[in-house]
Amino acid sequence: MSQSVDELVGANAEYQAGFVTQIESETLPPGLDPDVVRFISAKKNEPQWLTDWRLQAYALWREMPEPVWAHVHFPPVEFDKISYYSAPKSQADGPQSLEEVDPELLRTYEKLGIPLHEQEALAGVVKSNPNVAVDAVFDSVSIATTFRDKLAEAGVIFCPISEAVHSHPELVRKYLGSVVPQRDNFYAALNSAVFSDGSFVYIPKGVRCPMELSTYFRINERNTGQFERTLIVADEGSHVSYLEGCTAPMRDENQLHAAVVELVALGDAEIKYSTVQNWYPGDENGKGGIYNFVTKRGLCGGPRAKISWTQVETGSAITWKYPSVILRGDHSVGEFYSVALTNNVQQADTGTKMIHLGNNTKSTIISKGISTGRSQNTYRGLVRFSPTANHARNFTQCDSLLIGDTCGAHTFPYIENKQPNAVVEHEATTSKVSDDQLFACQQRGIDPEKAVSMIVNGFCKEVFRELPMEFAVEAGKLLEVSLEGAVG
Amino acid sequence: MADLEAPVNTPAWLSGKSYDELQTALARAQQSQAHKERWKYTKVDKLLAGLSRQDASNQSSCLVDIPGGIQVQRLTDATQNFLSSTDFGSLIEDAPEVVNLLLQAGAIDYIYVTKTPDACLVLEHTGQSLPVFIRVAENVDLKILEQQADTLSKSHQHCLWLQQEASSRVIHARNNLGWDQEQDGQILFRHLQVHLARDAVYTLQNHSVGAATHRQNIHINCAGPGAHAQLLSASLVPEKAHLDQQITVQHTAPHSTSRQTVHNIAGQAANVTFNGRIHIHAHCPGVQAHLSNKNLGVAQQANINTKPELEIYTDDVQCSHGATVGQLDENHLFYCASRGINPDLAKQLLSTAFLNTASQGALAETAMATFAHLSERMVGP
Amino acid sequence: MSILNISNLHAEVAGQPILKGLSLQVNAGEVHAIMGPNGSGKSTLANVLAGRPGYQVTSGSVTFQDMDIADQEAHERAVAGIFLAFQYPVEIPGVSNMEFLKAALESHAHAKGGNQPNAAGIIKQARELAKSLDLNPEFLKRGVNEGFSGGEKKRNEILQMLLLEPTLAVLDETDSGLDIDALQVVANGVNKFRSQDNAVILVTHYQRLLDHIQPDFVHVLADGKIVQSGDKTLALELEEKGYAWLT
Repeated sequence: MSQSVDELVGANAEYQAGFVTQIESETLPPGLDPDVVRFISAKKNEPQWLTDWRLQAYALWREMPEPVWAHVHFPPVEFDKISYYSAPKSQADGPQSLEEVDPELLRTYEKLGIPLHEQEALAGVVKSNPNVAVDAVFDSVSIATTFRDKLAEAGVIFCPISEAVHSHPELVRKYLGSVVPQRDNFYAALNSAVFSDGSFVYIPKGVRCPMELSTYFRINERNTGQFERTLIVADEGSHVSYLEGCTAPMRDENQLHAAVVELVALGDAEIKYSTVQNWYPGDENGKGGIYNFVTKRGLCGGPRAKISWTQVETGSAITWKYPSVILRGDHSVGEFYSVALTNNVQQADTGTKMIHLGNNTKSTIISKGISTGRSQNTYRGLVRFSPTANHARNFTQCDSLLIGDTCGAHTFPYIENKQPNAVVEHEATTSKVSDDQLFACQQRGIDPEKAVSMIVNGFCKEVFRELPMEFAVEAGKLLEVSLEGAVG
Repeated sequence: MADLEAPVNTPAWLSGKSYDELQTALARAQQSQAHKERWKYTKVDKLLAGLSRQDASNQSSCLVDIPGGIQVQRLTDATQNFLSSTDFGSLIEDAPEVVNLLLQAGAIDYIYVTKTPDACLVLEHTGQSLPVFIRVAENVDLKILEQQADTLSKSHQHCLWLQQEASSRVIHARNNLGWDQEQDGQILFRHLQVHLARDAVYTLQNHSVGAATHRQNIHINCAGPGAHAQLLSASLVPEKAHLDQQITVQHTAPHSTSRQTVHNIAGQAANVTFNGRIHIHAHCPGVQAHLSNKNLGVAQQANINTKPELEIYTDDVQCSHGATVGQLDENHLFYCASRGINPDLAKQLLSTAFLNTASQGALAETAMATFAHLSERMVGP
Repeated sequence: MSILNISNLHAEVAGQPILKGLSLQVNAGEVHAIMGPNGSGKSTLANVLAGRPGYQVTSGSVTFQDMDIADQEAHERAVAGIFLAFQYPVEIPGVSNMEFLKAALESHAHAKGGNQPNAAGIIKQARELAKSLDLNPEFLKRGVNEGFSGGEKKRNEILQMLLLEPTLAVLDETDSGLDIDALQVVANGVNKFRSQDNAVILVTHYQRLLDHIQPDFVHVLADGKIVQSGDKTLALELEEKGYAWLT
């Protein structure tokens, strides 16, 4: 093993110079051990403190048992059989033109209104010029430049984390792992050891970030999906809205996604994190889908800080994520708005954790689950009030919409209250799209599928309202597409 | 995990299994995820260790008033084939601690009520009570009153099974008020299991006071169309006391309904846990199930855990649950003050009112008197 | 005899100043009507007098029967003889009307050092009052205001006033939401109550109530202070011209 590490490190000495998108074709053999960790760190030319940090995480990971959840069933992940470092996708291996791409996939792209050249990029179509990176199709170099200037003016730092380690090491060192420590859970430990790349955002004091930050613009975004690590820090009084994801189905051979997202909001700062994700769900029988294990957590570190998580998710063979907020600052606010739609044989086990530590902290949870087909949709939430959380409040509304009688919807809210003057209100309802409602729509000429998606949209209104506008439009379309075949 | 002790007499109805088989099954069950969930906030070891090992001779029947016409059979030997028609089979997985209890019991009081009696069936727990199995025939109405004698021994465990045949109606008033402030380490454990056939109706009027360790399992299965379960529970958990209620209502038949109202008051440093699970199986359209759990904290420190769960596998259902944790309504307190009622008295009145709204039935008056007496102590300066 | 003396009162709610220098003198045997546009502070005045938590007096004074009540809590003011009929009476399921009345009467009796009222006497009196106020006497068994319509709730407030016999009765928009018959019943109750030994403050938005309960004084509250005082004719003028001409 060490021989190949030396070889590879030597062969890629130029990687140290900057962040040129190399089209490389090597992949490490499967399996994980400290040498692999060192190799990954060396590839990115990381400082020693970060290499050590990764190794610590690896040691912790080895000692942890894999978590087991009652309602999510999947064949065991064979950690020895996964490769933990994969260079950016080889252009030569992809389809040569759109004709070679799965027509179902193309139909979906069309329905979502994605222009042809973008479809090519998403489907990984190889262009005749292999040195041009995928993103250039969108003329992203120029987009990125304009956008970077604007941000630089405001003092906002938005770059890949691998870049930030070199350009702003003190910030990264201060905040990395401060919200999700290496030992937090099994997948977080794994991610801490082998994370590939992700976004780093820093908003200086009092600055309102002049535009919505989106991973769409980030260079190399598509190639870092497997073990992504994101860190967003909003200094006192600042404000940022961050969008993650894409409505086009992400074809990905990577079986396992273990990402970590850390948000830090200092006093009077606000972070809004929105996700619209359509994971390729595999075929009708769930084969080929993705295991998506994400640890997302925000810390309201100062008074009156605010963190909102808004997500619309469909697809994925297995989704396991619990965006959480730790409400440490007095009067801080945590919000969670979610729509999760499962179809066919998808399984979702999602939810949130709101941990109230400070006085007068407030959390709001609105979760809408839609299940159809033979899918299982589970909400699992934790609202915890420590004895120091005087006069804290939580409001939770979990609603499930079931379409058809072979799917399931489950709600497991844990409310742990050690402060009697804190107030919790939790409600959950379950309903179906009723025959009467459908008939009424049909009687006015609306076809059943459109009717269902209208009703579902109405059901999700409260959550869609929280999304930045273009996302909301995409989310609506995404639901329509995902509900296909759910009725009848 | 506490060791399960070898029973004094293995009842022959378990004789189909070897003792070792049973031990293995019990140990495995205690490791299961479901078991861990049910014991998340209250350690099962503590309970098992605390409940004293019983001699068959030490146990007595808790059936004190048996209306005319009802025969009680004491079952100790192998004529138990009726047991297979109940949910005993799943007990090892669902509630292994109960199987352990049964192993220690040595005998079961079995009653088959074949026609509506003209008086209530009264259960009074004085010492260690034998498990009771009640079967209610079609179209029969039965009223059960269950409470403790004042001389209740330090720790107490009991299992009660109720199997209701079609269109039977049972009203079960149950007071678990055996909290004794002097009795440190008092352990109360109740397991109640109800099986409802088509159109059967079961109403539970449950009043409880916390103890050093107080655990209640309530499992209701609406197993026939039109079955209805109504559960009212009012509990007061005084200073440093504990109450853990694990309630599961399953709907395994279409058009069955259930409604649960659970109100708990937690005093200073009290420990209150509520897990109310509604499980609607597949192919059960027309089910309506509702659950409301309200928790009131009346002191500075208390530990309140609530987990209302929904597990739903059919779409054509109406299901809701609500849980709240809070303190007395400021507006109510001011209304009382504006009429001259001093704050302590107002708190007492309102706390008692809070329990009153989940209280009903033949034993309600006794329970409310106990609650009023205890809440006087709780809301003092 | 002075019952209530409010001097240059400033008060705020949730940090917002609402009363900005209100002064008012109410003597025994008098009925004062306080009118004003929405948001002028009418309900705030009523709540401040009753001592509702969350309402802060920032300066000025309020004396009741020559005693400064600034430090007195709500229940202390109540047994001293101040009664507030709420604009939106709350429902308290689980506490029966009977239980509630008994507790209130016992608290009053205790404060005055008199004999405790007996239950039978309370029931009899409550039932009689209920009948006179067009309330079903069976309400005694039900929870406080439980299942009552808006009008019934207001009548229940008047019943409590008649039962507790306060020295100062503050009625906060008791007429809002009432139809003409209910209004008549309420007015009769108030008229039966008023005497040479007590006083009434009627907070109202509409002139209509004053046709049935003749006020001795009418005051207009605007922007946190009394801007105009007069007699009954002022109310008629307001009805004709509205509030705008005053400020």
